[in-house]
Formats: sequence, C-alpha cells, structure tokens
Amino acid sequence: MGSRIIRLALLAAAAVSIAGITHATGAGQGTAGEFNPFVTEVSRHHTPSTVVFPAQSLPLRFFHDKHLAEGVECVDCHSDVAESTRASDNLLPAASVCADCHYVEDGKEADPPSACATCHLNYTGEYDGFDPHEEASKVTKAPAVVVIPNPNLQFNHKVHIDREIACTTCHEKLDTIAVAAPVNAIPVMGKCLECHDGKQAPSDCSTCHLTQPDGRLVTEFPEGQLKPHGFYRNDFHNEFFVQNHEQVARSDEGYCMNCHQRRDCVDCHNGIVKPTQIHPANWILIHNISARKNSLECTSCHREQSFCIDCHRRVGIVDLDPTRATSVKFHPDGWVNLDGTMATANHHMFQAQRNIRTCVGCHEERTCLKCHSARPTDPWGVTSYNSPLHGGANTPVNPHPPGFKNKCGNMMQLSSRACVKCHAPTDPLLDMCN
Amino acid sequence: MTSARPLLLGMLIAVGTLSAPPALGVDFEIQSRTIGDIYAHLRADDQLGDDPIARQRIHQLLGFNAWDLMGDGTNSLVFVSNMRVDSDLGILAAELDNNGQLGRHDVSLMYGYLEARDIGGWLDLKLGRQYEVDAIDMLLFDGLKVRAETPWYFAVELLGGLEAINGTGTINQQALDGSIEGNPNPCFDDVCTGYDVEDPMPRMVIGLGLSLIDLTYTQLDLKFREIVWIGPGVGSDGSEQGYGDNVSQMRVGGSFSQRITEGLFVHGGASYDMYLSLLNEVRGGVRYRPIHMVEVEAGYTYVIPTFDANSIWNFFSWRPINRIEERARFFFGDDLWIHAGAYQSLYSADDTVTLEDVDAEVMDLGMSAGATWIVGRQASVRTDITSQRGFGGDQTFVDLGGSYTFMDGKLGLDARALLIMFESDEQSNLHLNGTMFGGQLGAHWEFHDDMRLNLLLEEATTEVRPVWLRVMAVVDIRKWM
Repeated sequence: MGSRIIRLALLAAAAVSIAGITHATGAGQGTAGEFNPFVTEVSRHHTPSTVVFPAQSLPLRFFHDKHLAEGVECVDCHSDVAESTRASDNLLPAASVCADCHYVEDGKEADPPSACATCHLNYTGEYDGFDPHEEASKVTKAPAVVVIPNPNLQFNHKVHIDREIACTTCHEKLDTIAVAAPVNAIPVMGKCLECHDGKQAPSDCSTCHLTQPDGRLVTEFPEGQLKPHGFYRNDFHNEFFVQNHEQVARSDEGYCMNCHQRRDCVDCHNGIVKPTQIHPANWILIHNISARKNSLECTSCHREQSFCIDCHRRVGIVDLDPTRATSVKFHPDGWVNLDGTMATANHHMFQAQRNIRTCVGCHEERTCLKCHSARPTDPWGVTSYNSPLHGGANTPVNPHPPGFKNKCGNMMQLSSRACVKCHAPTDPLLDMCN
Repeated sequence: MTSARPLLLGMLIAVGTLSAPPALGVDFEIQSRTIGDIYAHLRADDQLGDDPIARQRIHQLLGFNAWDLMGDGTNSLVFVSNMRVDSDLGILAAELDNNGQLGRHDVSLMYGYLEARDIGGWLDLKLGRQYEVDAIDMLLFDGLKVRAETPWYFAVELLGGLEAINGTGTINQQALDGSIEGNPNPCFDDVCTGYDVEDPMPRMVIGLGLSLIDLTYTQLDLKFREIVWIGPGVGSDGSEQGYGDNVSQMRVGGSFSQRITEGLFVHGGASYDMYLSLLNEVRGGVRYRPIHMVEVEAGYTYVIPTFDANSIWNFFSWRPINRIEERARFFFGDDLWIHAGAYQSLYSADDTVTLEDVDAEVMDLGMSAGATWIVGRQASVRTDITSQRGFGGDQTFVDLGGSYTFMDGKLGLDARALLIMFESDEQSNLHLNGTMFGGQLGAHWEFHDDMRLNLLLEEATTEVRPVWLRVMAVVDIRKWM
C-alpha cells in the first residue's frame, strides 16, 4: 500500500513539474503581459518584487547601451531626477525630449534614422498632416501606452544625488541593456543594504517601505502580499514558514515586529485557536501520534499539564482517583513490573527516556511517586508501592541518570524542592549530594 | 471565574476610546476576535458515564492599542494590550466538582505594556506584561525590559519582573509544567514544595542579553535568565529556609544567523540548563537558494525535554531526541512550486537494564512531497503526501486542499481533505489503526472593511467514530480611530 502511494506521489510530482516548466516565465515578460524583446534580463541572483514594483507596460524600443556609448548623460533625458523626492515621480523623458535628436520628419534621412517605430514598438504612425511630436494627442491611431504604476515604496532620488551617489551605483549594467525595466535596471534590496547598514544610512525597514499608523510595514497591496523571500535573512515566508519561523523569531524578534504585531504570535501560541495549516481536520483523534514522535513541539503552544490533562481527565484516559490503580487499559502488557521482575521491552522507562513529554500529557508527578519515591506515602497519603504494605522494603526504583551524584550537589544548592518530594529530610541518600 | 476586573477595565478603555475624539496624532486601535467552537467527544472510561463530553467554548480576545502617543508621527511611545475571556459552556457540574483544574470562565491579560522606542536614538523601554522570546524559550512576565544600543555593534538588554503564571494566557513553556498543576502544594513534614494554585507564590525573573546590531547579514543573540521563587526556600535538609535555594530556572542560551552569500544561510542556537548542568537544546541548519527556482535546506535538532526545577520529571528525562530534516523546493514562477522533504528522528533509551532485546535507539523516518499552485489572485490548490515509518507508528497522510475567493477577496471558500493510514502495535488498544478521513469546509466573509467572519466545518471518520463533526466560527474586528 505504502509503495503504491509513493509511486502515485512521484507521478503527481512529475506531472506538476512538467506543468510548471511550461508555465515558467522568461526574459522579456513582466511588462503587463506583453512580450518585449528589448527588455532583457541581466545576470542577477533575483529580481525586484512585483509587489513593490507592479507590472509595467513598456511597449518601447530603446537602447540605454547605445545612448550611454554615445556619451549621453542620464540627466540629459531624465532631467527632473535631481529634484525628485518621491518614488511616484514620473522621471521618464517626454517624447519631445527624444525629438531633440530623433527627427521623425526626416525619416531615413535623419541621423540617426528616425520613424515612429524607432521608439514605439511595432507602431506605424497614423496621423493627418500635423507634427505628431508637437500635437501627439491628435494622432488618428495612438501608439501603445507606457504604463508604469507607482512603486509601493518611498524613495528620494534627490537625497542620493545630493550625496553624489552616481546613478550607476544603483542602476547597474545600464550600459548593457536596451529598455530599462524592473527585471534589469531597478536595484534589488540587497543593493540598498550595501549602504543602508545602520551606520552609513538608516537600516530601518520603514526607511523605504510604506508604513501603517502603528509603524508596521504595509504588507497588503492590490498586487499581492509583501513578504520576505529569504534573500537577505533566513526568513523565506513560504508555506512552511509557519512551522519554521522559530529560528528567526528566537534570534531577532524585533525584526519580525517590523511587519507583525504581538497579537500575531499569541493568535497561535495561546493554545486555543487551531491553526488549520498545523492541525488538520481530525487532529484531536490523531494528535497522540505526533505527540509521541515529538514531531511538533506541543509545548510551543500548549502547557502539557494544564492543557492536556484537563481534557484527558474528562475523556477518562487519566485516572481521577489517585487510589485507583488504573483507568482505561492504555499501555501494553509489561508496562510496569510491580512484582520486582526485570523490565521487559515494553516497560515504561524506555518510553519515558525516549520522550517523557508523552507521559506528561496524562500523568502527574504522583503517578511516578508511587514507585519512585523513597517515602512510604505520597503527599495525598496514598501508600507507596515500595512500602512494606505492598510487599516492598521501601527501596524505591532509582530514576536518576548515570553520573547524577556528580551534579546533584549543584542542583540541591540551587533548589531542593524536587529532591524532597521523594526523599525525606533525614534520608541518608541526600547526604551523597550534600 | 478568576476576576472580571481586567475585562471591565478593557471594556471601559474601549468605550472611552470610542466616545472620545482622537487627540493630536494618536491612533487608537481596537481589535476583537470571537472564537466559537462546538463538538462532542466520547468518553473512554465507562465509569465516567456514557454521555459525550460537550465542547462548547467561546473565547473572546480584546486588544486595545494606542499608537504614537507623543503625536509626532514617530511611534516613539505606544501602548499595546490584549486580553482574553474563555468560557467553556459544556462542562458539567459534576465535572467541576471532580476536577479542580476545570473552570467555566476565565479572564486573563495576555499582554499589556507601554513601550518607548528609540529614546535618544539608542534606548528602548517596555513596561508591563510582555513576552520575551529568545533562544531559551518564550516567557510571559510583568516587569520592565530595557534595551540599549551601543555605538560598537552590540546592544545590551536587561529585564526584571515577576513571571506571569496565572490565567489561561500563560504560555511559558517551563512554567511549573509537570509539578504544580496536577500536584498542588504537596507538603511533607510540614514543608510544602509547591504552592497553592489559587494563591500562587510569585516568581522573580531576571534576564540579561547581548545582541549584535548594525551588521546587515549577521544576527547573534546571547541570553541569561534566572527565575527564582520569592518566598521561603526549601533547604537541602527539607527545612524551610530563607530567601535562597529557590531557583526555578537558570539558563543561558544563544542563537545566530549568518548569510554566507546571496541565498545561502547558516543558523543555529543552543540552550544550557545551569540547574541540571546539561545542554538541553541545540539547533542548527543551513538553507541555500542558489537561484530563484530552487531552495534546499537541512536542519538538526537535539532536545532533552526539561522542566521547571521544581519538577521531578527532570530526573526521568536525560536522553536526547535527535532529529535531522532535509527539504527541497522548486519554484516555477511565483505561483507554482513543488516540495519534497525527509527527516530522521532518533529516540534513545538505556538498554542495559533489561534482559530483553531493547533498542538503545529507535528511529522514526519520514518523507513528504507535494505541490502548490496559485491560480491568479483568486484560487489556490495544494497537495502533500507524507509517509512516516518507525517509532510512534507507521502512517501515511494524503492531504489535498484548495481555496477560491470572490468579490476582490472579500468572500472566500476553502476546502481540505485528509486521508490517514495508521498502523501501530504500541497503541492498538486505542483503536486508531486503520484508515481515517478528515474533511474541512471553510468560508470567510469580509462583510465590512474592519470586520471578517470565518466559519469552519470539520468532519472526521475513524475506527472509533464514524461521524465526528466540529464547527468553529471566528469573528475578527479591527477598528482604527
């Protein structure tokens, strides 16, 4: 049965892989669905988020590389950039700026040769006797519109230029690309972090990302949810992150709080809400399996004694009456050996050593004290199984690990509360630690 | 019912805030979440009766936050809080009589603190009930936490206060679990080793931390924490002592994360229990995303379950659980990915104390594979098949889920089906062996910009119960003023 399922899983994975390869996107896309051969990707580990830079439509034919090679400066075309203080500023040159050099009227005779399609991709000009550069709104068939949505970011070009940071420091490889687009010309966050390290420039997320009134980042946009992709920190918010976030939260909780509220933690860690991505539908009926494996750490969200025992008592898998030897038959034969014989392979000590948390979900300390206490009665006045009344000679089963006597002195110095639960103050065994 | 005062206080604050006009640039926020949960569970023990256990619970969470109290737009002073009221309407009177731990109603303050951020560009303060999350564990305490950033790439943290252990909001992982709840105030020879649950003795928390700052790709955090009882101690001779010998927890821990190169990270952490003189936890891992399309990761965990120093459980738990995990994911664009993973866990025991053949180490092996497909912004489909073999039983999960949203995401439906095949000789008496099925149908409706209703219907079929229905409803309200 198991192997059939594994085979099915492999087949499904292969089918999904094939579907995925045909679905994969390539260079030139990402411009609002239209393929533009002049938008080429450059060699980078990753490209900017489409949530931060929403999909653009750039039906243009343009060559940054050729213009730069001709000695054209960035500000010759992007003349407003030095005064730009917002990421939403339109810094694209108007058509009239292009027309300063590209004389469409002269057509092939111009230097460089010019036509509408020189810049407007696949566009054949249709206009009626007027100068399309001066009266563009009067064309009878307009070229495809350039759409560059506002980035979901705050950015101040002026501050950077005032600090004499060269354009190519951030916009790398412009001398190798044609049309500039997010995939090839917009810097990724790692480029920002080269200077925004907390010393040279602020490293707070809110320096660039948009914030809510409470100071947290805005993460919900029409284009999707802004979330880390794990390129700069070990924080890839994929579908497994809900189970793997511990490492990030433990090492730098303040970082999480840039986007999350404390409430987001206790929504799950309070032990009452059932996150369905962690606990599936019939979880209550199968939770003991995972508890035994410790595959989910129950104590991350639940307190075993207070959370588990309350329900286990009500269901009846834990005895309510301490004088009652057993409740429901739960453990296999050989689980305890009250007759003093050698432990069998089913003995509870092995399970306790393997993962005592499984025991703690049902049992209280007094369960253990019945046999492991050096006292004749437990705190509830119940006679110990080691007592002569039970045929024992008050010789408890020693639960301490090997080498315990070498470190019990330190434990007793720090706290003796646990020791005196099993050992009477006059117990000579305590002297071994004193 | 423990006390209605926190609830009344919260309601007064909420009503006062709603009726008062906002002053300066202060932003007030009220968050409410109401969770209802209904199902029934069969009793396993006939002696307790044959009536099913009615689980009819309502949990009310109420959050009140005040942002930017200085009104200068910097959020340099804020107040955040969240409280919870739990009502269990299904508990029978007889059960209340027999189980002192049960209660029909409970009120607790989950957190509530005033936070001053970036005072003078280097100092942060938090005062009130707050959580501390670090390499040691998660701790809830009432007190003050101070964090000071130095110009030398490190920050120092100090915290002090009283551990918050009352109320259902408590999630402290070490808080007296295994020693008190089921064993209230055990006394021998007139010396009490615990405390009365109804009148808990306070425990003082002291913490010290050191963390690296302003290193873009390096995170390092070192912590020390001590929790001590405030009250008469118990001497090593069992006699009542002064205010010493009262350690409840004493630990040091640390964690780090380092980016080696773009997409390659190593991380780790460890915690040392100074009371037990043992390394109780070690975690480490590596994650690599060489290109956008591929991600691989591996992790190692070493855990010895430990408890509060007051607990005798510590004497039984001295063998580690070791676990190694490996995962790989392949991304085809931003909306389709497949994953595969495997893990191996080792549980050890002392095999020298029996004549029978007992494995010193037993293993649990598992593997999983699946895929997720996001269809536009409206729909998603995901599947996973997981198989586990060895300790704890053999089991196979086949999980299939999907979701679809309408009206710009304001209305959504989701469904999930789970098939489980389980075999274990160790737990055959639980009648779990065999094939189980679980199904979920959920819906959410954002009927107002600030309000959302979630409904979840669960059905499970097992060898024990052919029909097992559970209904859960959650109402979320978030209001800015």
